[in-house]
Amino acid sequence: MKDLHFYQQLNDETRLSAEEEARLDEALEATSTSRQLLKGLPEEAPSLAWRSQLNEKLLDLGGKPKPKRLGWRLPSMAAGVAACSLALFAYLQSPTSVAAPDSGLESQLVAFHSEQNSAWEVSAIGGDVPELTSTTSSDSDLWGPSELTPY
Amino acid sequence: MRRPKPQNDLALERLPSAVKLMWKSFGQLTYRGQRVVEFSLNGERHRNVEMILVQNQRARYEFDKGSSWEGHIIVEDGRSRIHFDPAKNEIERGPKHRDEVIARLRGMLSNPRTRVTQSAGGTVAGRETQLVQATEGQGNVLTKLWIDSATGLLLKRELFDRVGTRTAFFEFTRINFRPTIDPSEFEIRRAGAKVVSPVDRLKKVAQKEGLPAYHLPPTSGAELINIRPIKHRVPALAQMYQFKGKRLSLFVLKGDVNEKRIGGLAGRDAHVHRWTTGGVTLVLMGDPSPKELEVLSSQVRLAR
Repeated sequence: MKDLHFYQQLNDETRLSAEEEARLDEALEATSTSRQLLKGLPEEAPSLAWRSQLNEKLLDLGGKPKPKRLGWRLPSMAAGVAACSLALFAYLQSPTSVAAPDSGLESQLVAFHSEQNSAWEVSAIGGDVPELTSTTSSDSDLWGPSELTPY
Repeated sequence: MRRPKPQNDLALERLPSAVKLMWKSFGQLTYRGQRVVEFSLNGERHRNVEMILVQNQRARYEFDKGSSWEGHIIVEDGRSRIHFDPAKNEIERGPKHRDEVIARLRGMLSNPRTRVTQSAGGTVAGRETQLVQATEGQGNVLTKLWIDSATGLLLKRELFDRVGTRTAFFEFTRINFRPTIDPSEFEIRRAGAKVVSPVDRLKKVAQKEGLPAYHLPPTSGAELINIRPIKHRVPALAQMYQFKGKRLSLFVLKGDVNEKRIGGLAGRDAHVHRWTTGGVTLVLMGDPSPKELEVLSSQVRLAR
């Protein structure tokens, strides 16, 4: 029963008393000594039945592992999220001399370059789109429409 | 001892016969014809009917009724390109266009990554053609060319985007290889018309958009061929240049853009260089290498 309580404490990561810490050190020491002793033995594969029995014993002794409790971590995580949101809000609101990168504009530049290139490949006029210009010349109608097609 | 041929010349030698005939005949043919042209700009589809007259290095283009550029006249006199805009009553003189297009096509077809095939193309404007198809490494079609089997004239061309959509094309509907020509057809004389340069127009458009008129001066080797404002929330202006047989855009923007994102969107089609100066963002995008773009960026000046 005492072992079970000790195991529970280790599992929950609760603070150990000085006596318990000494006991843990002793146990760990014993483990390393045993490991050294075992290394000296000839290698032999343990049987599956023996391994199964060992697993059952361990389960009986420790019970089902509990999910880790967030405990003190929850308030600090919430504070972190709040700080990030505040920083993002401040960044978006701050006045800057050059606007933040504009993904719409980026794709428009690439599309523009590509379209212009194609237009110049096939046409005499290229991408020189006529501007909507009202003519002042009195005889302009002799040459064509007074207003060119807008785009 | 003979010097080995450059890679590009070797690639040109391997091209199909119709392409070789096209190179050979370029600048040697005389014809008058009509062609339908379609392309997209700002998501809008434009369709023109162009009336073309070509005599060797010289060319004249007019636009039929109902075309987006109805009334405009363009003449290439072998040295430069002269464009008459009837609405503004302006004559603009800029660099030659035809040579540049053929140089770019040459670059695409001679690229070792481009696969070029030839097959029978049927008739275009009543003429027998050879269909030449250029595909990139993965097998996606870049362009299709219908070349007149007898003369080498490019009678039809289609361009495709990355997903195989036809983005632009032209197709001759009439062609006459024995036209009657008056020498005055390769001149533009219009009393009262204002003669402007592309830089004059740039300054005017930049002022209207409230942007500084940054440009690549002729000393950089780049020739300005087009200027347009971009319709967006922030003021933006685009210029297109010819540079050593390559093409590039210079963008002047009030807003900022992410260079990596633009590079990602452009993919292998173009290189990108972005920097800021005088409160605006400048972007160079196009065929030149990243190093060339960087060198060009140092030559960008305010137009005077």
